[in-house]
Parts: sequence; C-alpha cells; structure tokens
Amino acid sequence: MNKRKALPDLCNREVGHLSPRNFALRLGSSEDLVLRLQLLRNLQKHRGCVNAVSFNADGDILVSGSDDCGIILWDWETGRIRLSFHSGHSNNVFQAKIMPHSDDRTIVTCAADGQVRHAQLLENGRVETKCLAKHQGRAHKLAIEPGSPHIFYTCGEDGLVQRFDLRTGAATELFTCQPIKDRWSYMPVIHLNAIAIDPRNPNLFAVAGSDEYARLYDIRKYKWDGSTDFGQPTNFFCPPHLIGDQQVGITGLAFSELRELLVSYNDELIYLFTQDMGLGPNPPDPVSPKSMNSDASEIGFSHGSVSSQSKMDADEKVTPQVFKGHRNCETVKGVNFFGPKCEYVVSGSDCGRIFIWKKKSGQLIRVMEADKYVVNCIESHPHTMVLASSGIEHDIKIWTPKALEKATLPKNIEQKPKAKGWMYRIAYPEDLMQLISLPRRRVRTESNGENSSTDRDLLQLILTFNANSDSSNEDDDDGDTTSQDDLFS
Amino acid sequence: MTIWNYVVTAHKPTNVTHSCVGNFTSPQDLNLIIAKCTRIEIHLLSPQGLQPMLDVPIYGRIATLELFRPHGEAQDYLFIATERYKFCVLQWDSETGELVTRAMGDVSDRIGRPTDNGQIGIIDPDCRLIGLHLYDGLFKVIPFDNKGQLKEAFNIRLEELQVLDIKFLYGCSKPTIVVLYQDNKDARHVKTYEVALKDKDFVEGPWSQNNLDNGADLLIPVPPPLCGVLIIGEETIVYCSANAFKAIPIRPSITKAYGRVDPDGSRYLLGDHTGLVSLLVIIHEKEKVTGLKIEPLGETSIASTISYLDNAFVYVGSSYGDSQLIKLNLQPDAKGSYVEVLERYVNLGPIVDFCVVDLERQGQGQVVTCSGAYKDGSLRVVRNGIGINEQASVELQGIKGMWSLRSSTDDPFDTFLVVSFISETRILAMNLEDELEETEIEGFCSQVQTLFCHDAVHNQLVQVTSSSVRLVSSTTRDLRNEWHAPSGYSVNVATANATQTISVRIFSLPGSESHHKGTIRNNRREIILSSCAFEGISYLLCALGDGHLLNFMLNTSTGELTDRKKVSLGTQPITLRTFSSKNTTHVFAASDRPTVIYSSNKKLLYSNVNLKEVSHMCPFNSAAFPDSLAIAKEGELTIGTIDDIQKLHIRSIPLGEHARRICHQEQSRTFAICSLKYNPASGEDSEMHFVRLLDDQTFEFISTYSLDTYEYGCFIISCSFSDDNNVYYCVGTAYVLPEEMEPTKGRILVFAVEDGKLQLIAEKETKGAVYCLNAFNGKLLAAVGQKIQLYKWVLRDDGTHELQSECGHHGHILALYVQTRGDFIVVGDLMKSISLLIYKHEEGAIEERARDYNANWMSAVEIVDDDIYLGAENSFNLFTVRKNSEGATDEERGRLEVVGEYHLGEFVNRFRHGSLVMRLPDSDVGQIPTVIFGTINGVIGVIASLPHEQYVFLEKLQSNLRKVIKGVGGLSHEQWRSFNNEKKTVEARNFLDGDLIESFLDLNRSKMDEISKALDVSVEELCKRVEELTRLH
Repeated sequence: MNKRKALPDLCNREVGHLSPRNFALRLGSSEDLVLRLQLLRNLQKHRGCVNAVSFNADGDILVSGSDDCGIILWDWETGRIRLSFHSGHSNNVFQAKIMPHSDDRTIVTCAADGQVRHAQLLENGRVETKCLAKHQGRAHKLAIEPGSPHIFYTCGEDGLVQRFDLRTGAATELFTCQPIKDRWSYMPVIHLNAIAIDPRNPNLFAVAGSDEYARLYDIRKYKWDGSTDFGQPTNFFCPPHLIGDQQVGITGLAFSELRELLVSYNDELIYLFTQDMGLGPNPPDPVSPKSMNSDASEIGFSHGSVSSQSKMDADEKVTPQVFKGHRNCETVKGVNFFGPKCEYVVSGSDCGRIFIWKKKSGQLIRVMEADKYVVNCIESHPHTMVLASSGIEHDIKIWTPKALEKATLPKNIEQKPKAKGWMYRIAYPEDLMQLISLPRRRVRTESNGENSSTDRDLLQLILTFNANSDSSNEDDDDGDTTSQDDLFS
Repeated sequence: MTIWNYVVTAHKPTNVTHSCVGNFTSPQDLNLIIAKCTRIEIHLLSPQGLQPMLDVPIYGRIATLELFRPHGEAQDYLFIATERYKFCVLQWDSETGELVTRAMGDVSDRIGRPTDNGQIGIIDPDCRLIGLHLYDGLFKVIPFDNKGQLKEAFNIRLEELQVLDIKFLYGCSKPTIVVLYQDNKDARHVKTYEVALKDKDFVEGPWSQNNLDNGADLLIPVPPPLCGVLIIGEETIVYCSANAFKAIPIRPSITKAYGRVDPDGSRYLLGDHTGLVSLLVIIHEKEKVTGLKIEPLGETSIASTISYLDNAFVYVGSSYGDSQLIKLNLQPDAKGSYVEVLERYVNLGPIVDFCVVDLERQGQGQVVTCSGAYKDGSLRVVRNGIGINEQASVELQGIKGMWSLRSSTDDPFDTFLVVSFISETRILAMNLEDELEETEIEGFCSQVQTLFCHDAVHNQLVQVTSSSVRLVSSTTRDLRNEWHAPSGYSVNVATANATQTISVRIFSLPGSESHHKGTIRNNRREIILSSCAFEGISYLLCALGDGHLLNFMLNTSTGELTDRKKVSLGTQPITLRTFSSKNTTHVFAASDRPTVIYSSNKKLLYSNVNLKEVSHMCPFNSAAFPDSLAIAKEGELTIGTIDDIQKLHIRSIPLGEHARRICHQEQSRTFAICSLKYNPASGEDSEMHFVRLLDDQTFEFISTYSLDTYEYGCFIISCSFSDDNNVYYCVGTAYVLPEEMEPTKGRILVFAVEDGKLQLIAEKETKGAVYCLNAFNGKLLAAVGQKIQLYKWVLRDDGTHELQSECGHHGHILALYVQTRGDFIVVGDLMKSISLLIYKHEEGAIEERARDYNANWMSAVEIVDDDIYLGAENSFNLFTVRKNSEGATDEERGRLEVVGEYHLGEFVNRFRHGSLVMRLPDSDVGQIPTVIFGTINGVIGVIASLPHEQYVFLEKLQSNLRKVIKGVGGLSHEQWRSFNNEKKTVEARNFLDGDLIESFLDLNRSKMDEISKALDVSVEELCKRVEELTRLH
C-alpha cells in the first residue's frame, strides 16, 4: 500500500492508473483532512440537549432529535431548516433516523419514554406520527437493516430487542438479553444501550449494555413460530482483561465496512474486534474478578493484566486494538467509524471534546472542543468528510475540513470533566432536567431506594418550577433574574 | 445565455481496455474482439492481417468482455458486463453480419458496497455458470441450463472482503473459483471455493495458500492437462495446484496483462508496467509441473491486454500508448529483442492536457494533446481534415483541368501531367533528373482546352476536346487517329476507361439523358461520375452546380438507384476525381471546400482537405513523387502527398517521457510542456521533472529547465502582465516530499524565451502546490493548495520584476481547476464542486459570490458564458450550473443552480474553448460557441451551446431516434445517459447526445421516413439540419 499523497494521486487519476472511485476513497480519507476539520456552523433551534443526529442516505439532510421531543430536518450545508415537528414522544428523544429508499419521508425514532415511533412526511407538508411499540424502560438505540426502507431493530433498558417491519407496522419481540448463567440471580436482564447491524452480512447484529460483553446474534436462527431458543448469541466479544469485570458496561457499538466491531466501555476504553477475536457462543469463565478500583482500569490497558489473566487467550488470538484518551463516565455515548473506508474511530468525551484516532494503529490524531460539558453523539457523513456532533448544549455542530492550518494535539489530553456546581444550573430548567436525567443514564442500576425517592422529590419541584415559568414568561426559554427570584421565594 | 448543450464525439475512444480471441463470426473464423471502454471492435484475422468487421458503441462502460462457447455450439458467444451492472450475451448472425442479443439483464443490488479493486466477471470453462464480483462480500452467480440459456441470478456471501482477483479453475468436476484476497493486516492469500448450485452456497475448495508476495494481484488459471493457477506478484511468480507448489523470483515489476500462448496452458506472455513482454513457461514432465521459467522477449507499448492470435502473431492492447500487432520471432534482432512491431493502432489516451492552436494559420484550430503515459508519452497534433504535404509547386493561372498519363501501358508510374487552360493545353513531365518541366506530346492539340485525357491500351493516349477525340501513341507521341464532331455540335462532358472501347457520351443542351432517371431537378449543370465502388458497394455520385452532392446506392445489374442522400460541399461547382490511397478508392471533390469522399465501416464519409478553393485535382503517381496528387488552386499548381484519409488527422510526436501540461506561445512560436521522465532502473525517487521548450513546427526540444528534486511541474501558461510588453511562460510547481501528504511548498517560475532558450526571470515560493495558473486582469491568479492567490507583477528598483501577493481567498478543500472571465473566477474543488468568486478592484479583495452545494469531486471546469459554468466530475458525468443574480434572498443568490446533468461515460481531464473546424461565416453552425474536451480514454469531444429552439427540435429527434435505434445488447440509451454517482441517479437534462443524433445519417431510408413522419419534418430537412451539426467537429 503506497502512501496517500494528493498530488501523485491526482497524476495517477489523470492517466487512469488510479480509478476515480479509489481516488476519492484515498483522498477522502486523508489525515490532512482530519487535521483540517473545523467548525462550519452551529445548527440552533432545539430547546434541549440533542441526543440524536444522523444523515440521510444521500447525505444532504441531517435529522436531529432532542430532549425537547422535537425532530428537525436540516439542510446542514446552508443551515436552513427544512422541517421540524413534534415526535409524539413524552420524554427525551434518543435516536432518529431516516429510512433509506423512502424518498426521505419515513423517520423512525426512539426515546426515554420507551416508545418506538414512526413519522411519515405527507405530500401536503404535514407529518403523521404513531407509536409502533414500547420498551419497558428507556429505548436508547435503533438500527436500520442496510438499504431497507422497511426493517429496523431497537433495543432498550428492559433488555428487549425488537424487530419492526413498517409495511405491516408489526413489532416482533425477538428476545430479552440475559446475562451469563452465573449472574442470573442478581441481574435478571442486561440493560441494553447499543445495537448495530453488520453492513456486509445484515443477518448479523450485535447488542451491548450493562455487562462486559458485546453479543452477536443471527436473525436466521430466529424461529418465527415463537420458539424461545433464539436468545442465545452466536458469538461474544470482550477484551480478555475485562472478562468477569462486573463494574464495566458498554455504551456504544459500531460495525466497520470490513465487519470489525467497535465497542465503547463506560469508565474504560474503546476496543476494536475483528471477527476472529470472538469468544464463541459460550464465553470462557473469568479467571479472577477484578476489584472495583483496579489499577489496570484506572490507567487503561495493562500488559501485566493481560499476561496474568489471559496467557492462554493471548497464545491463540490477537488482542483488540485499543483507543484511549477520552472519558466515558457521565453519559451513554455512541462510538463511530469515520472516513470512506472506516479509517478512523471517533468518540465524544466527558470533557466536552471530540476524539479521533487512527483505526489501524490506535494513534490519537485529533482532539476538538465541541461542547461546554459533554459530547455524546458523533455521526459521520455517508459520502464525504463531514462530522455532526451534539452533547449537552442545545445545538448541533457541523465539522468540515476547511481550516487553513493543520491542527496539533492539545497538551492536556486527559483533562478532568469540567466542574459543575449545583447552584450554577439552577437558572436553567432544561439543564436541571438534564441533571436529573444524567444519573439515570449511567449503565449501573441504582439500587438505593432512598436516592430514587430523593430524585423523585426534586423532579416534582422542577416540574412545578417549570409550570410557573411557563405561566409567567412563556416565550423566554432561558432563565432570568425574575425566575431565580421566583424559585428562591 | 444558453443552458442547452450538444455533446458529440469528434474522436472515438482509443484506449484498449479489454481484448479476447475466439471463433465469433463463424466456426472457422479467428476473431479478435477489442473493447475501448464504450466501444467494441470485431476484427477477423486473415493472411492480410487484422480485417475490421464491426465497430459499435456500447451504452455503458465495459467492465467485462469474455468469449465463451456454450455446450453444443460451434461458435463463441460474447459476454459483456458494464460498470453500471448491466450485462448482455451477444451472438454473430452470419447472414446479416449483425450482432444478435441472446440474453440481457441487470445484476445490480440495492444494498452493497461497490468493490474497490474493480469489478470481476468470469465464466466457468465448462460453461456451467457466470460469476460476478461487483460488491464487497458478495459473489453473484448466473447459472446456465443444459441448453446454454441463462437462469436466474443469485448471490453467495463471500467471506473475503478485500478481493484482488477471482478466476475459475479448469478441470474441476464442480465449478470452482480461486480467490486472491488481502486480509485486515494487508497480507495476501489464495483460497478455493466450489460453487454448490443447488444449495446456492460455497463449499470449501480443494486447496488454499497463505502469505503470498505482498504485491500479488493477478491470477492466471491453467487449462488441462496441467490445471492449477499461476499467481503473479511483483517479485515472485507462483504456480499452485492441489498437488504442486512452484515459485520463482522475478525482476521487480508490475504485471498488468497476460495472454495464453498454447491451448495446453504451458506458455504465457506477460506484459509489465514498463512495456517489457516476457514469456513464462511452466516446465512439466508428462502432466506434472516441475518448475517455472521466465524469459524477456522485448519491448512493446505498455500492455493493458495481450491476445495471442496465431502463428506467433500477438495483439498488444494499450492504455498508455499505441496498441500494436507484433510478431514474435525465433531469432533476436540486433538489440536482442524477439519482438517485431508490424502495425501500430493510434491511442490518444490518456489525454491529460491539450491546447488549441492554429499552427498553419488556416483559421482552424488544431488540438495538441499531452497523450500517453510513462515511457509511451507523446504529443499528438489532431486536426480536422486531410493535410497535403507539398513536394513541388509551380505558379500557373487559370487551370481548367488536369490529368495524369503514363508513357506506356505497362509503366506503373505516371509521366505526363496534362494541364488544360481556357484556350490552350500544356504538358508537364518528369525529366531524368526527376524535375517537372514543360514538354510536348505532338499528337495532342495544344491550342485548345482539353476536356478529358486518359491512358488507353496498347500504349495509347486519348485526348478529348470540344471538337474532336484524338488517339495518340504514348511512345512516339504521334497522332494515330482522330474523330471529329459533326458541325454544329460540340462535346461538353466525356469520360473513358483503359479498354479498347472508349465510351464517349455526347449531350445536347435542350434534353440530356442519363443512364437512369433519378430525381434531379432544376440544376443548371451536371457532372456525373458513375459506378464508383467503395468497400465493394457501388455508388453513383452526382455533383451539382450549387455545391451540393447527391449520392445513390447503385445496383449495377439493374441500374436501380436507391438511398438518395444529399450533402453540401460548398457553394461553388464541384469537380469529382477518383484516386487510390493505400489500395482504397477515394473521390476528391474539388470546390471552395475541397473534400475527400471515402467509405469506412460501410458508410460514406466526408473529410475536408486543409486547402482553400481547390479547382481541380488528379492523382499523380510518379517515380519521384509516389502516390501523390496534383492540385490546382488559385494561381498555383501543387504536387504533394496526402495524409492518411480520416476525419481527424493525427500526427504523433513520441517523447519517451510523460508530458503532463502543455501551452502554446504564439509570439515565440514555441510550445512549453511540463514533463517527467521515469527511470525504472533505479529505485525510489526515479522521476525527473522538467519544463521543456519545443519548436512549434518541428516539436524539437530546444531548451530544458530541470526542476528540483521532488519538484513536480503542475501547470503552465503563457501570459503577459500590465505595464510590461513581454510575453512569459509561467509555471506552477509543488514539492512532493516523502513525509508530507499534501505539499506545503511550491514555486511559481516566470520564464522568457530569449534566443530560443528558457530564461528564468523570476520565481516566487508558495505555501502549497500550485495546481492552476491564470492570466487575470494583467496579473497572475494562482490556485495554491486550498487558496486562490492573486499576484501582481511589480517593477523593482533595480529594474527587474517580481511577483507580489495582492490578495487571496480560502475556503476550498483543494482548489484544483480555475477559469476566469472578466472579474469572475470559477473554482473547481477537489470534493466540493464549483464555486464562483469575484475580484473587487477597489478593495483589492476576492470574495465568494456563489457556489454549488453538491459535493462533486471535480476533474475539469470551464466557463460557458457569463452565467453558465460547466463541470466534469469523478463519476464520468457532466453538469452545468447557473449564477442566480436575480435571486430574492442572499441564500438564493449564493447558490449556483444546477441546470444540466448528463452521463458522458468518460473521465474528462481538460476543457478548452475552441473549435476543430473552420468557422465559416455563411454556415449556420459557425456562430455556435464550442468547448473541446479531452479524456483518459483518448476521446476528443465537443460541447456546443445551442439556442433553445434548436435544442427543442433536436431533443424530439433524439427521442425518436431512441425508438428506432436500439443499443447493442438491449442496453438503454436513456439509462446510459442518466447522471449517476454514488449518491443519486437522475435523468439527463439539457444535454443532448450528438453521437446518437448524428447516427440519423447512417439510417436506411425507411427508418428515416419513420422518424420524418413522427416529427412532421421532411427527410431532406432533417438530413440538412443534422449535416450542419456534423460540421461542429
């Protein structure tokens, strides 16, 4: 593989030595372009955190979903809003996607209220939405069967995976994800945060959530007569040193064009698995469980840990590629590939920045400030080097390679999360709502009933405050002195 | 302002992308079939060489071309697959001499990622199935049934995602493929799979082999009795089968093409990226492979395809140089080469740059292209029409006719040139010193105008005057006999042949009679030349006094005239004369627009001669000037040889290096090129880059400037600056350093041509590659990396000049292509389509005015007029955008509106304003502005901006032609021309396919009538309108 160079590649394209398609793939994945990524614009209209951003198949429309339960279709290149409507959800929208080959008229959404909804854009400009099904718990992610205008899957914190066919509106409950056998007694289901479909073999999909395993399933094994055998995964993926670690969970999954599986752990790192790194349908028993405050976890990947725990595994399989530098504690973050052939890995971070690594080497090449607080979502454009990111702030940021100079890495990469005082947030009802929501998005289940009760009381207070704010100053989305006075009085 | 465009091919693709050999036109015929991306040619191998049989366009870019023989068939069928997933199976109909479609279909899939390393199409040697690898992870199977019919296709999932090559193996009881692939760690392996047709899945094949040469990218399946496969790498060649593994090291090279020599598969020809052809031998004892051996044979063009024909004749198809027919000799020549080049077939591709110049100051543009690549680089001078190479000329006024005569019947050469004037006749002859001098033939009457002369048998000559016919001895020059016209009559027109019987036709003015009544009316003067045979077909050509020519198909047994066609060859009376060139019949039409009429592909073609006002012409095949013509024009008689007869004449100037950019400077009568020379013998950094100055007549290198190590020449223009009367060449360069992905440094070099040498006057360092330069408002506009930078030419205190930066604009990914018009600047970006900038004089600033928001990967841009801009992009499409100055909002005014879209099917490297034809003021098409384009496949095309009314008319004509003319293999023209890239496919709009429209002239009369009725326009009017369009190119 010769190096990617703009000018020799241009010469080779001119004479036909390099096909135009490969020219675009090579130059479109150039590291120079990553280093020239710069903020093109902010897309501002939402009145809450933006949790969902995705592009349509052609790449000219960006669809976003927010805590304000609204869906907006943007012409991201010019910043113009094509359409906005209420999703019909009663809580934070977590994902929104346009079904391919639907003339960009069919949008599916899922949210914190557990609903999976279908929005149809009608000829007269109106939007018709309806509920297709409901998870008993928050529904974090949906995945569209590649190229299908009808079929998609969802997963939720109830551990349920559902398959939807828009032609019939039918929702099929495929299975509820169960932990490995020795944990059934204290963890009845895996709370699922992520689902992804293999782009080269759409029969395969992976799910992950509140334990250390990503699970791979084959839809062809589903017995449509209602048999219960389907819930057994065909493969498990986990870094050897995390096997048995009950303190970690997974927040994001992605498949590459080469069928590699990218897994982002909370309180841990990001790992890239090739197919041959699977543990098989029966994961091995943990050699020894890791303690909660293990040094290995704190400082990241540890050779000592690997050698002590997985010497046998190391002899047989190569260990996954590791990506580190970011922090993933506060929220359920996605992880993604970037570049025309998935040459890069991107993730948001609790420090409010976007991190970009080279997939092959794991080398961190780019860190970009993208939010005052946390970056949760990063979405790659399907055809060109453009990123869309969102986080706690109410906007979406569009990044294109337009900078004149190439960026360098900041000195303090592993920055602690920004300090957040409680009183600072009192002025922003939406942020207070987010503050209440944040702990609930942690992977680990809160078992303290007392804390839950306290949260409910605070939520009631905020809701009351919100109602007062609406009645006294309906058009003002931001807090002001009067609101503060009202709150205190 | 016009958004309606007419796209037409002036020169067809010449890049050979595929070739194959088999018995296609009959079981006994050996055919070579060649694909040139969007065209296929069928040739017959005969003792005289390759005989062209058919040349047809394909509505698609050909990805696969394979001959195969279904069970029970005596002839081969042809399988073609296109890059847009169409396929067809063609058969030859011997009775009609036409292609018949046996099968067709679409093998596209809605989901799936197109494969990176090119589509693969293969056919099982036992014709059980066709295999296609079009998408990553999928292998498509089209099975045959027992009768050789194709059944429904299905997909099999392929685990290997980075496939380099797939071939079917020979000698397997079940269809078996071998897959060469690369894993995630970039190691290369082969494995085999059996195709289980019933289960529609793969079964593990008989063997596999891991960890091959990292440059392995070609598989060659070996037929029985040896079977197995050859794996060609950059440093190793491997033979692999179930029971043998043999490997040999080779000189590092990249093998691009191979041809099998023997039916038993023991010998192969391999062509590498330097044009070296080698013979690879599989050494075996009985049926066991014992080793491999490779022998270099010699140098050819860099081969893209090699087809072994017969008896050591080999066809070498090339993408980077001319294709060749070669003979492999048993003994080496003086240079040690076993390769003898018998024929060269012109390849203009790849055209990476060109300029349009009027080198001979005839008022007509000639295109000078940078063609070819690597060692096969060349310049080509392409001009419309046929050139005359003058050998001798004499000043003579008032010539009325000319004829050449031999001094004896058996003499192969002409000796006498009879020149007729209004009241006398003179005779010129070649003397013993091979000079033309005046002489006498005593038996001729020299005091009157001669109407006709011809050689006759038995060493005799014939002279016809208005009052007599004279028979003269060619040896003694004495009069033998004479016939006098009766009083009151005179001879007007006469003709004769060489036999004893002389046919002389006498016409009286009131009522002339012809051989057969045709529809000739209202013409004051007739000149008839009958029984002219082209390619075995007889035509009657009738030249009229008003500059028109009628041609009919002539049935020589019944005298019936059919297929009447009328073309305009000028405005003055025409004289016709047959002559022979390269053993082929041609007719010279002498008039104010001299034309040669000839036949190609069984149709009459008209090619203008690069002369003005030729009044008379005759062939003059003298010993001193073989195969010459004598031409009478205003005040001068010229004897010269004629160039090859074709629509476009191409002169080749081999360079031995790769010219990448070219520019002409009228003032110094020079060309300048940026070129690079490859030195494969050394290792890395083997390229040397130059700026070279060439004489614009001889194309000799007259001066050279060597660029620095790692410095590439990117662009060159000729320009002048404000307040400076000199003309300069300006060169933009880039330093391509090993550790940088994008150049961070380049230079602008300013040269003057002084005493025939390049003198460096100034240089300016830039912070990036200088991709493009334009003369702009007396200054220099440069595209440097992602910026547009404007430089002014400033006089320093010491009297020298320097380039000084005035202002710039950034915001591009890479600004690669720039055109300017007035104060407007149009930029083609690497991946962000077209943007329009404006230069504000007062502020000294450049601002963006508008841009196209589609993310097009550009390959060329041009300004059509003040408001319309033309682009070519990475997926072989053309599009036009329009400035919207009257938009209501800033956003509307800031958006260039896409107003035209069209799939050209060609990768355009350059647009230039200009014309290949003379712009005649009396012609309707003379006022239409045109842009010329050049492509990788060697196409030279013309885009003409049409008025709306004409566009609407031609669009209807195109629509009707689609119904009448079906694409080869059932491919759809409408689908072919739809704009298509990875994001979308939309119908073509505001572009017309001139190639389809001009094929109207090739239709038979009944189909013409069909279209005429549908459009309610007469056939004559339609022909006239389409003929006019052919004069655009």
